[in-house]
Amino acid sequence: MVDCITLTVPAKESALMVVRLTAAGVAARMEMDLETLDDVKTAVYEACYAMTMQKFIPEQLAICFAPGEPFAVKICAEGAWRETAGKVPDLKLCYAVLTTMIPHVKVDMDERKIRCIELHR
Amino acid sequence: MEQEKRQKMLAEYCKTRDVGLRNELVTEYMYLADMVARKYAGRGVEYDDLKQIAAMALIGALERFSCDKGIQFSTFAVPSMTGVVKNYFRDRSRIIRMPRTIGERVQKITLAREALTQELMRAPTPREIAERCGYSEADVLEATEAMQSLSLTSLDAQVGEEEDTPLASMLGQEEAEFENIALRDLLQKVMDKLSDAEKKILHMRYFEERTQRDIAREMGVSQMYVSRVERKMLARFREALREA
Repeated sequence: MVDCITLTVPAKESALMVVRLTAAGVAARMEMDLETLDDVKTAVYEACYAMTMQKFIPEQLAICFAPGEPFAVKICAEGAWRETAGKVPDLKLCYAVLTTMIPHVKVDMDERKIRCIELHR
Repeated sequence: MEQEKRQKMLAEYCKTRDVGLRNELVTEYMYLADMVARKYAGRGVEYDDLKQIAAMALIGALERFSCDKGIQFSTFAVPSMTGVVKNYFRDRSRIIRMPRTIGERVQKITLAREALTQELMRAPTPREIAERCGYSEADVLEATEAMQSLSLTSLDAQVGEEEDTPLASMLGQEEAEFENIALRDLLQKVMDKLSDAEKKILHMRYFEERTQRDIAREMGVSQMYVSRVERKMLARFREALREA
Protein backbone atom coordinates (compact mmCIF):
# COMPACT_ATOMS: atom_id res chain seq x y z
CA MET A 1 0.00 0.00 0.00
CA VAL A 2 1.19 3.51 -0.71
CA ASP A 3 0.35 6.82 1.01
CA CYS A 4 -0.70 5.07 4.15
CA ILE A 5 -2.22 6.94 7.10
CA THR A 6 -1.21 4.82 10.07
CA LEU A 7 -2.86 4.82 13.44
CA THR A 8 -1.55 2.72 16.32
CA VAL A 9 -3.80 2.06 19.30
CA PRO A 10 -3.71 -0.25 22.32
CA ALA A 11 -5.66 -3.43 21.59
CA LYS A 12 -8.53 -2.45 23.88
CA GLU A 13 -12.19 -1.82 23.15
CA SER A 14 -11.95 1.62 24.76
CA ALA A 15 -9.48 2.73 22.07
CA LEU A 16 -11.64 1.68 19.15
CA MET A 17 -13.77 4.83 19.00
CA VAL A 18 -10.64 6.70 17.91
CA VAL A 19 -10.21 4.19 15.09
CA ARG A 20 -13.82 4.65 14.07
CA LEU A 21 -13.52 8.43 13.96
CA THR A 22 -10.30 8.23 11.96
CA ALA A 23 -11.95 5.85 9.48
CA ALA A 24 -14.80 8.36 9.14
CA GLY A 25 -12.40 11.22 8.54
CA VAL A 26 -10.42 9.33 5.91
CA ALA A 27 -13.53 8.02 4.14
CA ALA A 28 -15.03 11.52 4.09
CA ARG A 29 -11.91 12.76 2.24
CA MET A 30 -12.81 10.24 -0.47
CA GLU A 31 -16.25 11.78 -0.96
CA MET A 32 -18.05 8.63 0.13
CA ASP A 33 -21.74 9.11 0.80
CA LEU A 34 -22.96 8.73 4.38
CA GLU A 35 -24.29 5.20 3.95
CA THR A 36 -21.03 3.91 2.48
CA LEU A 37 -19.11 5.84 5.10
CA ASP A 38 -21.18 4.19 7.83
CA ASP A 39 -20.40 0.76 6.35
CA VAL A 40 -16.67 1.52 6.24
CA LYS A 41 -16.61 2.87 9.81
CA THR A 42 -18.51 -0.12 11.15
CA ALA A 43 -16.40 -2.63 9.19
CA VAL A 44 -13.14 -1.14 10.47
CA TYR A 45 -14.52 -1.04 14.02
CA GLU A 46 -15.76 -4.61 13.76
CA ALA A 47 -12.45 -5.88 12.40
CA CYS A 48 -10.55 -4.20 15.25
CA TYR A 49 -13.12 -5.46 17.73
CA ALA A 50 -12.60 -9.04 16.52
CA MET A 51 -8.88 -8.68 17.11
CA THR A 52 -9.30 -7.27 20.61
CA MET A 53 -11.82 -9.85 21.75
CA GLN A 54 -10.04 -13.01 20.67
CA LYS A 55 -8.42 -15.55 22.97
CA PHE A 56 -4.93 -14.19 22.26
CA ILE A 57 -4.76 -10.40 22.16
CA PRO A 58 -1.80 -8.40 20.83
CA GLU A 59 -0.33 -5.44 22.64
CA GLN A 60 -1.51 -3.00 20.01
CA LEU A 61 -3.15 -2.65 16.63
CA ALA A 62 -1.60 -0.82 13.69
CA ILE A 63 -4.28 0.39 11.28
CA CYS A 64 -3.14 1.56 7.87
CA PHE A 65 -5.67 3.56 5.86
CA ALA A 66 -4.88 3.81 2.15
CA PRO A 67 -7.20 6.56 0.89
CA GLY A 68 -6.87 5.81 -2.80
CA GLU A 69 -8.79 3.80 -5.37
CA PRO A 70 -9.73 1.27 -4.22
CA PHE A 71 -10.06 2.40 -0.64
CA ALA A 72 -8.24 -0.08 1.59
CA VAL A 73 -7.58 -0.58 5.27
CA LYS A 74 -5.17 -3.04 6.83
CA ILE A 75 -5.32 -3.84 10.54
CA CYS A 76 -2.37 -5.75 11.97
CA ALA A 77 -1.43 -6.99 15.39
CA GLU A 78 1.76 -5.65 16.93
CA GLY A 79 3.75 -6.38 20.05
CA ALA A 80 3.54 -9.27 22.47
CA TRP A 81 0.51 -11.54 22.68
CA ARG A 82 -1.28 -12.39 25.88
CA GLU A 83 -3.81 -15.08 26.59
CA THR A 84 -7.26 -14.09 27.83
CA ALA A 85 -10.55 -15.78 28.67
CA GLY A 86 -11.82 -14.89 25.18
CA LYS A 87 -12.66 -17.37 22.44
CA VAL A 88 -10.65 -18.45 19.43
CA PRO A 89 -12.20 -16.45 16.59
CA ASP A 90 -14.82 -18.01 14.33
CA LEU A 91 -13.32 -17.20 10.95
CA LYS A 92 -16.53 -18.01 9.08
CA LEU A 93 -18.51 -15.56 11.23
CA CYS A 94 -15.79 -12.95 10.89
CA TYR A 95 -16.01 -13.10 7.09
CA ALA A 96 -19.81 -13.26 7.16
CA VAL A 97 -20.05 -10.11 9.28
CA LEU A 98 -17.40 -8.05 7.51
CA THR A 99 -18.52 -8.83 3.96
CA THR A 100 -21.99 -7.44 4.68
CA MET A 101 -20.30 -4.06 4.95
CA ILE A 102 -17.28 -4.15 2.68
CA PRO A 103 -16.93 -6.33 -0.43
CA HIS A 104 -13.36 -7.64 -0.16
CA VAL A 105 -12.09 -9.06 3.08
CA LYS A 106 -8.94 -11.02 3.81
CA VAL A 107 -8.25 -12.44 7.27
CA ASP A 108 -4.78 -13.68 8.07
CA MET A 109 -5.08 -16.18 10.89
CA ASP A 110 -2.69 -18.78 12.19
CA GLU A 111 -2.03 -20.52 15.47
CA ARG A 112 -5.54 -19.54 16.56
CA LYS A 113 -4.74 -15.84 16.32
CA ILE A 114 -6.00 -13.26 13.86
CA ARG A 115 -2.84 -11.41 12.89
CA CYS A 116 -4.11 -9.15 10.13
CA ILE A 117 -7.37 -8.15 8.49
CA GLU A 118 -7.47 -6.38 5.13
CA LEU A 119 -10.55 -4.60 3.88
CA HIS A 120 -10.94 -3.29 0.31
CA ARG A 121 -13.82 -1.43 -1.30
CA MET B 1 -52.34 44.58 40.47
CA GLU B 2 -53.95 46.58 37.73
CA GLN B 3 -52.63 46.29 34.23
CA GLU B 4 -51.68 49.97 34.17
CA LYS B 5 -49.58 49.70 37.32
CA ARG B 6 -47.94 46.57 35.99
CA GLN B 7 -47.02 48.37 32.76
CA LYS B 8 -45.49 51.23 34.75
CA MET B 9 -43.47 48.79 36.80
CA LEU B 10 -42.28 47.10 33.62
CA ALA B 11 -41.29 50.42 32.05
CA GLU B 12 -39.36 51.29 35.21
CA TYR B 13 -37.61 47.93 35.11
CA CYS B 14 -36.66 48.44 31.47
CA LYS B 15 -34.91 51.66 32.49
CA THR B 16 -33.24 50.58 35.72
CA ARG B 17 -32.94 46.78 35.43
CA ASP B 18 -33.33 46.69 39.20
CA VAL B 19 -33.28 43.10 40.46
CA GLY B 20 -35.81 43.78 43.21
CA LEU B 21 -38.21 45.20 40.67
CA ARG B 22 -37.59 42.25 38.40
CA ASN B 23 -38.52 39.86 41.20
CA GLU B 24 -41.74 41.74 41.83
CA LEU B 25 -42.55 41.51 38.14
CA VAL B 26 -41.90 37.76 38.19
CA THR B 27 -44.56 37.48 40.89
CA GLU B 28 -46.94 39.63 38.86
CA TYR B 29 -46.45 37.63 35.68
CA MET B 30 -46.28 34.21 37.32
CA TYR B 31 -49.75 33.52 35.92
CA LEU B 32 -48.11 33.20 32.49
CA ALA B 33 -45.78 30.45 33.76
CA ASP B 34 -48.77 28.77 35.35
CA MET B 35 -50.65 28.89 32.04
CA VAL B 36 -47.75 27.35 30.06
CA ALA B 37 -47.18 24.66 32.71
CA ARG B 38 -50.86 23.66 32.70
CA LYS B 39 -50.83 23.39 28.92
CA TYR B 40 -48.00 20.86 28.95
CA ALA B 41 -48.80 19.00 32.17
CA GLY B 42 -49.80 15.35 32.04
CA ARG B 43 -47.25 14.32 29.44
CA GLY B 44 -44.98 12.44 31.77
CA VAL B 45 -43.69 15.51 33.66
CA GLU B 46 -45.20 16.80 36.89
CA TYR B 47 -46.98 20.16 36.79
CA ASP B 48 -44.77 21.52 39.59
CA ASP B 49 -41.63 20.72 37.62
CA LEU B 50 -43.03 22.37 34.51
CA LYS B 51 -44.04 25.47 36.45
CA GLN B 52 -40.53 25.74 37.84
CA ILE B 53 -39.06 25.47 34.33
CA ALA B 54 -41.53 28.02 32.98
CA ALA B 55 -40.78 30.35 35.91
CA MET B 56 -37.07 30.22 35.17
CA ALA B 57 -37.85 31.01 31.55
CA LEU B 58 -40.03 33.91 32.72
CA ILE B 59 -37.07 35.44 34.53
CA GLY B 60 -34.99 35.08 31.39
CA ALA B 61 -37.73 36.66 29.30
CA LEU B 62 -37.95 39.65 31.66
CA GLU B 63 -34.22 40.15 31.51
CA ARG B 64 -34.24 40.09 27.71
CA PHE B 65 -37.40 42.14 27.20
CA SER B 66 -36.99 45.58 25.74
CA CYS B 67 -39.81 48.09 26.20
CA ASP B 68 -38.83 49.71 22.87
CA LYS B 69 -40.15 46.76 20.89
CA GLY B 70 -43.70 48.05 21.11
CA ILE B 71 -45.17 44.67 21.99
CA GLN B 72 -46.85 43.38 25.09
CA PHE B 73 -44.60 41.52 27.47
CA SER B 74 -46.93 38.51 27.45
CA THR B 75 -46.63 38.33 23.63
CA PHE B 76 -42.87 38.12 24.04
CA ALA B 77 -42.71 35.89 27.10
CA VAL B 78 -45.18 33.11 26.31
CA PRO B 79 -43.44 31.79 23.15
CA SER B 80 -40.12 31.99 24.98
CA MET B 81 -41.42 29.97 27.96
CA THR B 82 -43.11 27.48 25.64
CA GLY B 83 -39.84 26.95 23.77
CA VAL B 84 -37.97 26.25 26.99
CA VAL B 85 -40.59 23.74 28.14
CA LYS B 86 -40.51 21.98 24.74
CA ASN B 87 -36.70 21.79 24.90
CA TYR B 88 -37.05 20.22 28.33
CA PHE B 89 -39.34 17.52 26.92
CA ARG B 90 -37.00 16.96 24.00
CA ASP B 91 -33.96 16.60 26.21
CA ARG B 92 -35.75 14.21 28.50
CA SER B 93 -37.05 12.04 25.67
CA ARG B 94 -33.59 10.91 24.65
CA ILE B 95 -32.40 7.78 26.31
CA ILE B 96 -28.86 9.07 25.99
CA ARG B 97 -28.57 12.78 26.70
CA MET B 98 -26.41 14.87 24.46
CA PRO B 99 -25.28 18.50 24.58
CA ARG B 100 -27.94 20.87 23.26
CA THR B 101 -25.71 22.18 20.43
CA ILE B 102 -25.07 18.68 19.13
CA GLY B 103 -28.75 17.82 19.40
CA GLU B 104 -29.67 20.85 17.32
CA ARG B 105 -26.94 20.06 14.85
CA VAL B 106 -28.18 16.48 14.53
CA GLN B 107 -31.68 17.75 13.79
CA LYS B 108 -30.47 20.16 11.11
CA ILE B 109 -28.22 17.55 9.53
CA THR B 110 -31.00 14.96 9.49
CA LEU B 111 -33.28 17.37 7.63
CA ALA B 112 -30.50 18.32 5.21
CA ARG B 113 -29.70 14.67 4.60
CA GLU B 114 -33.34 13.87 3.78
CA ALA B 115 -33.66 16.88 1.46
CA LEU B 116 -30.39 16.15 -0.34
CA THR B 117 -31.26 12.46 -0.75
CA GLN B 118 -34.45 13.49 -2.55
CA GLU B 119 -32.70 16.12 -4.68
CA LEU B 120 -29.68 14.03 -5.62
CA MET B 121 -31.52 10.69 -5.79
CA ARG B 122 -28.65 9.16 -3.79
CA ALA B 123 -27.17 9.38 -0.32
CA PRO B 124 -25.30 12.69 0.13
CA THR B 125 -21.65 13.00 1.14
CA PRO B 126 -20.59 14.70 4.38
CA ARG B 127 -19.24 17.62 2.33
CA GLU B 128 -22.60 18.16 0.62
CA ILE B 129 -24.40 18.11 3.95
CA ALA B 130 -21.81 20.46 5.47
CA GLU B 131 -22.32 22.94 2.62
CA ARG B 132 -26.10 22.79 2.95
CA CYS B 133 -26.02 23.34 6.72
CA GLY B 134 -23.11 25.76 6.89
CA TYR B 135 -21.13 23.44 9.15
CA SER B 136 -17.66 22.00 8.77
CA GLU B 137 -17.29 18.41 7.62
CA ALA B 138 -15.86 17.56 11.04
CA ASP B 139 -19.08 18.85 12.64
CA VAL B 140 -21.14 16.65 10.32
CA LEU B 141 -19.06 13.57 11.12
CA GLU B 142 -19.30 14.28 14.87
CA ALA B 143 -23.06 14.67 14.66
CA THR B 144 -23.33 11.46 12.62
CA GLU B 145 -21.54 9.65 15.42
CA ALA B 146 -23.88 11.24 17.94
CA MET B 147 -26.82 10.01 15.88
CA GLN B 148 -25.74 6.47 16.71
CA SER B 149 -26.95 7.12 20.21
CA LEU B 150 -30.42 7.89 18.83
CA SER B 151 -30.61 4.78 16.71
CA LEU B 152 -32.03 2.49 19.34
CA THR B 153 -34.75 0.65 17.56
CA SER B 154 -37.93 0.27 19.45
CA LEU B 155 -40.42 -2.49 18.91
CA ASP B 156 -42.93 0.37 18.80
CA ALA B 157 -41.15 1.88 15.78
CA GLN B 158 -43.73 2.67 13.15
CA VAL B 159 -43.43 1.03 9.76
CA GLY B 160 -45.83 0.70 6.86
CA GLU B 161 -47.06 3.01 4.16
CA GLU B 162 -48.70 5.39 6.64
CA GLU B 163 -46.10 4.56 9.26
CA ASP B 164 -48.92 3.40 11.49
CA THR B 165 -47.95 -0.23 12.05
CA PRO B 166 -45.75 -1.00 15.04
CA LEU B 167 -42.82 -3.20 14.12
CA ALA B 168 -43.62 -5.38 17.12
CA SER B 169 -46.93 -6.34 15.53
CA MET B 170 -45.09 -7.80 12.57
CA LEU B 171 -42.53 -9.78 14.48
CA GLY B 172 -42.19 -12.18 17.34
CA GLN B 173 -45.55 -13.85 16.78
CA GLU B 174 -46.50 -17.41 16.09
CA GLU B 175 -47.09 -17.96 12.39
CA ALA B 176 -50.61 -19.17 13.11
CA GLU B 177 -51.44 -15.62 14.30
CA PHE B 178 -50.50 -13.97 11.01
CA GLU B 179 -53.89 -13.27 9.45
CA ASN B 180 -52.53 -11.00 6.81
CA ILE B 181 -50.96 -13.37 4.30
CA ALA B 182 -49.67 -10.52 2.15
CA LEU B 183 -47.79 -9.08 5.12
CA ARG B 184 -46.35 -12.48 5.99
CA ASP B 185 -45.17 -12.97 2.40
CA LEU B 186 -43.57 -9.53 2.44
CA LEU B 187 -41.80 -10.30 5.70
CA GLN B 188 -40.54 -13.57 4.26
CA LYS B 189 -39.24 -11.83 1.11
CA VAL B 190 -37.29 -9.30 3.19
CA MET B 191 -35.90 -12.00 5.45
CA ASP B 192 -34.80 -14.12 2.47
CA LYS B 193 -32.42 -11.32 1.48
CA LEU B 194 -30.73 -11.26 4.87
CA SER B 195 -27.43 -12.98 5.57
CA ASP B 196 -27.33 -15.82 8.11
CA ALA B 197 -25.77 -13.52 10.71
CA GLU B 198 -28.49 -10.91 10.14
CA LYS B 199 -31.25 -13.53 10.38
CA LYS B 200 -29.76 -14.77 13.62
CA ILE B 201 -29.70 -11.23 15.03
CA LEU B 202 -33.30 -10.65 13.92
CA HIS B 203 -34.43 -13.85 15.61
CA MET B 204 -32.59 -13.13 18.86
CA ARG B 205 -33.73 -9.52 18.97
CA TYR B 206 -37.38 -9.79 18.11
CA PHE B 207 -38.32 -13.39 18.85
CA GLU B 208 -36.19 -14.00 21.90
CA GLU B 209 -36.34 -10.27 22.91
CA ARG B 210 -32.71 -10.13 23.88
CA THR B 211 -30.70 -6.95 24.29
CA GLN B 212 -28.12 -5.83 21.75
CA ARG B 213 -25.37 -6.30 24.30
CA ASP B 214 -26.51 -9.86 24.97
CA ILE B 215 -26.64 -10.71 21.29
CA ALA B 216 -23.21 -9.14 20.67
CA ARG B 217 -21.69 -11.12 23.51
CA GLU B 218 -23.17 -14.40 22.33
CA MET B 219 -22.25 -13.95 18.70
CA GLY B 220 -18.78 -12.58 19.40
CA VAL B 221 -19.43 -9.31 17.55
CA SER B 222 -19.58 -5.70 18.67
CA GLN B 223 -22.78 -4.11 19.93
CA MET B 224 -22.22 -1.45 17.28
CA TYR B 225 -22.56 -4.09 14.58
CA VAL B 226 -25.78 -5.44 16.09
CA SER B 227 -27.17 -1.89 16.25
CA ARG B 228 -26.26 -1.31 12.61
CA VAL B 229 -27.92 -4.54 11.48
CA GLU B 230 -31.08 -3.60 13.34
CA ARG B 231 -31.19 -0.13 11.77
CA LYS B 232 -30.67 -1.51 8.29
CA MET B 233 -33.32 -4.18 8.75
CA LEU B 234 -35.88 -1.62 9.86
CA ALA B 235 -35.06 0.55 6.86
CA ARG B 236 -35.52 -2.46 4.55
CA PHE B 237 -38.88 -3.33 6.07
CA ARG B 238 -40.07 0.25 5.62
CA GLU B 239 -38.92 0.31 2.02
CA ALA B 240 -40.52 -3.05 1.26
CA LEU B 241 -43.83 -1.92 2.76
CA ARG B 242 -43.73 1.32 0.77
CA GLU B 243 -43.13 -0.61 -2.46
CA ALA B 244 -45.81 -3.22 -1.75
